[in-house]
Amino acid sequence: MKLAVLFTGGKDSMLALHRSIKNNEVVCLITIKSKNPDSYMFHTPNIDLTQLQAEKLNIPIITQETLGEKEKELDDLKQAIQFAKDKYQIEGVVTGAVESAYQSSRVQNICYDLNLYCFNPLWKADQESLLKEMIDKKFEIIISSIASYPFDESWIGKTICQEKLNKLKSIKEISITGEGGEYESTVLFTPLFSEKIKIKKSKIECKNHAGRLIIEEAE
Amino acid sequence: MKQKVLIINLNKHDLAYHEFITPIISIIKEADVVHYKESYNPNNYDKIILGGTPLKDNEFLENIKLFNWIDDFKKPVLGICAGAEVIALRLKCRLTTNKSIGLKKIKTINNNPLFKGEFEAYCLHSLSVELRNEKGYTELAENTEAFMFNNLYGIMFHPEVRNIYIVKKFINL
Repeated sequence: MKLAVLFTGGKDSMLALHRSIKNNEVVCLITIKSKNPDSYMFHTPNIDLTQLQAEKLNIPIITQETLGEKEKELDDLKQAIQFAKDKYQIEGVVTGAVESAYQSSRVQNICYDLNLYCFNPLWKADQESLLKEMIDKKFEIIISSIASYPFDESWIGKTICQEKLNKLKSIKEISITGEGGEYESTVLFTPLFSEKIKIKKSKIECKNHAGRLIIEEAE
Repeated sequence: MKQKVLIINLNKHDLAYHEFITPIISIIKEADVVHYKESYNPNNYDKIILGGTPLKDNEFLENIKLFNWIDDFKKPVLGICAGAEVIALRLKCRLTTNKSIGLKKIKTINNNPLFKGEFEAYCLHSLSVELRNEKGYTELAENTEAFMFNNLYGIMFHPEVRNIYIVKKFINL
């Protein structure tokens, strides 16, 4: 089946892509670039890096900008999916939704309207197992932003390895996959990449328990 | 006593397995899984669950004959969404178009062993069951979000998403 993956460049959409590519043809990625950093719907840190990730994956990418206004942003998403349907003849859309009924039901509605399949291959999965699968698959994932206690600047830009996973598990206040927006991630490598993304220039902006890694140059 | 549970996968596409079958396995912990087109013996199990499918996958509706074992089966069967549609068709009920996607309020209208009162549940269906009440089928929740007939339970919402206690209660029936 020809599929499009809703792609944020973070760990969940990357694992959804990995699961989709088995027995299917992922013909494009769709990235929504939201101007609203607090969007409930779309991931925002380092969204510009998706272009470079798509190059390393050798999969075409459709990037759609949105102001990120609640519900109106869905029209922009629908437009991007319609474009993918017209250009690449996709038969279905894949998301990296794990727990969010808010996100998944909105994508389901759009797919229903456009007569497309909607797949959520990480849906309700055990959080620790997901991270473990990514580590086992040799994903290189960095924490690109934090948004809650007890995270602080020392976490930003760090790679999620087994040791970090153990540390995340020990924090009672958070979902270890960052499902509640406690942190966001960016993937620099998976076995589907032609080569690893190298960050050439970056800076950290952080205040108390909220901050992000700004990637200024990467290749 | 340990229950022997069979989960029947109604999906046409492998990719949907993660979404509609894995969450049920996570709740039950131990169960056999079979695709509905494979051969299996329902009599080898204490409980049977028919899982859901994506909105666009209705291939199973063209293969209702493969579920004729339901007609004489005496042990508990739970149909979730697509699975409920299978049970409804085996009971000679009709399906009508009725899209429902997202978190919805479910109102219990008849006492039953699986749930009570009002609660929120995740819906993902484009069809609804039209019960033939003269047959003695019981509507368990408003808008036929759930129904039962003897040992057969049909639930149109997805209890494996926000109401896992329903699946656990079914296993312990």
